[in-house]
Amino acid sequence: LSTVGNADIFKQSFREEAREVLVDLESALLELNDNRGDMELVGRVFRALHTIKGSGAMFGFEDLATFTHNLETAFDEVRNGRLQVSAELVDLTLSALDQIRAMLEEGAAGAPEAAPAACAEILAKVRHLAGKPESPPAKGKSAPSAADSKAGCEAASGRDSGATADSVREWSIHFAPGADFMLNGANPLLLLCELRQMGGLAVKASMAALPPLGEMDPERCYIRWEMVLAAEAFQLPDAGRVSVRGPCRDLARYESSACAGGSGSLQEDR
Amino acid sequence: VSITLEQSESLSVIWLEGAIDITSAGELKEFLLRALGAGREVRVSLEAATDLDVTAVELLWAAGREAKGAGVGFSLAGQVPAAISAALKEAGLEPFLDFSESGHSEGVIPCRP
Repeated sequence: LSTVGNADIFKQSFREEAREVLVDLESALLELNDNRGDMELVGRVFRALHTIKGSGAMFGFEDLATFTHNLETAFDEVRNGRLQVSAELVDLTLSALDQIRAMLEEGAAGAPEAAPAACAEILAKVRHLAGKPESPPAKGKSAPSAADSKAGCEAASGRDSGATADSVREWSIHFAPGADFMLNGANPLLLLCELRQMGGLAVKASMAALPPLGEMDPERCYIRWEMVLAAEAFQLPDAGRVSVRGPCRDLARYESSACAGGSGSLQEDR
Repeated sequence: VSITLEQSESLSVIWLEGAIDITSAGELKEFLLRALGAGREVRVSLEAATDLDVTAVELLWAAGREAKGAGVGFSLAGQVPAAISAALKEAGLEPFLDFSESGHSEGVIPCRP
């Protein structure tokens, strides 16, 4: 692994996660075709698309993210009761999955290539169904302020009721528990669990900070995590050093005074 | 919770039982150092473990790294309980319990006496 750059490791990690999400997405779509009024299945499809779009954009799969965004928008319309699930929508989305798979594996030996013409045709039909003109991914929109982030604490707990494609954003999170983190009774796995409940979460752990076994303090967590969370504005759980990067440049800084052994912050991204 | 070390002429086996977490981390570290110090192939059984926290995962990973550096075999014996695998996978830690590259991937040990 030493010859592989970080970006490649993240890309590979994203591919692996996306393959799993696509399997779930496909089964949700097939179930949805048989139970077209099942909003739980609609939510499952929406969240899967959202995860693929968000993580894809974060890891440099721009075409995949843009393509998936349009599908996500259609299912957001379904969630909001403005569009009915139809056999055509399900079929189009299933065809789209094949294209997403191809984009995901692009460059791999023997992988099928995504067909731009087929993608364009799928999107045109989906937009026609949704009654929407072309809509680019939500980028560069105004970001939540620090106050919004705190208010988002409540929003996050009830996110399924009010979440829309526009209010959900991707947050890049670096989590490095402080030296006393574990001694204070905290558990990093619970923090990850808490984040996972807020939305789609891609996780990459690193052992790079581990000293040799003989020098390790056995009661300290040396593991670091890089994550991408697709969620609405949220308040960080109390934790060790956590820094969060939002997708937008005008994010206000967020300092958490309640953190044990470190601080949490929302930082400017670009 | 119990951690035991059994050593034979060719093998050091560490048995982990129950919840292996921060309360037993110091003990786990000592057992791993002793096993590595013996210079024999090391196998760790998680079959009777019910939970592994991050301290256990990083100690095992660090021990595996050291064994590899010393050219000593290091592997897990038997199956990792499904609940543990699932929890580790959620945290992106599952790959760190894969010691199959250490060159001794069979990880089979005789039944515990």
